[in-house]
Amino acid sequence: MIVRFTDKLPKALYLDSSVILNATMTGGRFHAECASFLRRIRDEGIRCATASLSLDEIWYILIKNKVEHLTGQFLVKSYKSNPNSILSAREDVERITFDLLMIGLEILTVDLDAMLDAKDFLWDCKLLPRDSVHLAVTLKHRFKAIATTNPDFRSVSDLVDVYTCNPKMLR
Amino acid sequence: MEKIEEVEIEEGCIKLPVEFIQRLKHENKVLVRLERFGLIVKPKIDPVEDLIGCVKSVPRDIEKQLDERVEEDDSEIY
Repeated sequence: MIVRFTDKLPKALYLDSSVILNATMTGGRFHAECASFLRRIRDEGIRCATASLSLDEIWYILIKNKVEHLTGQFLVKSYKSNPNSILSAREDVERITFDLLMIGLEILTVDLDAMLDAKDFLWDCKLLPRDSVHLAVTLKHRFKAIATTNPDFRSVSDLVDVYTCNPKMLR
Repeated sequence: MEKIEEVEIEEGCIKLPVEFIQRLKHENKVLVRLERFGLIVKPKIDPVEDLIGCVKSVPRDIEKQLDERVEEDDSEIY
């Protein structure tokens, strides 16, 4: 089922990196909605978790945002000519990683079982690989709901409740 | 950021200045980080509020960037 961010929350929720990034970055399309959602999760004491993969995604976007802002070039191009360029994002990455841990977000490991399940979800749910991994970890740890702004997760709403504020998914 | 320049270590415990401890409120958490230039201890505000909006950015399609990170960046491959 597709569920609005403003609807009743479950006791436990898998948080996709898109929600965290939108809340963190002022330029995210769903910044206000994701910020309110995180506050609600805090206020209602909802147990939250995400896969270690999410940290990779969050770090990548934070580095990309900072390097592109400072250099005016795509991250990889800038990195190849000057690997030190990523150091400009260090403060953001450190701060946000600490905040996530202080919030009490559980970081779930991506093990072989999860990867093999993810492989099947590629074909069964027509998901891209990283999205398949998120779904596999969600189900492996028995979460019944996932929060995301990624419209590709619409196809898994028969397996888990998908909480979102993205109007493309709520249509 | 609140930095303590000097701390004592006694029987495996780090002793923090009384003034620093007294400023903490009951609900405060303390964040301790070992940095290149020493130990940093600071009262931690609500981590959710600290995280929200802490990165000022131009408008970004985060969902698209997460999906297409290789294609967008690797213009030299093909």
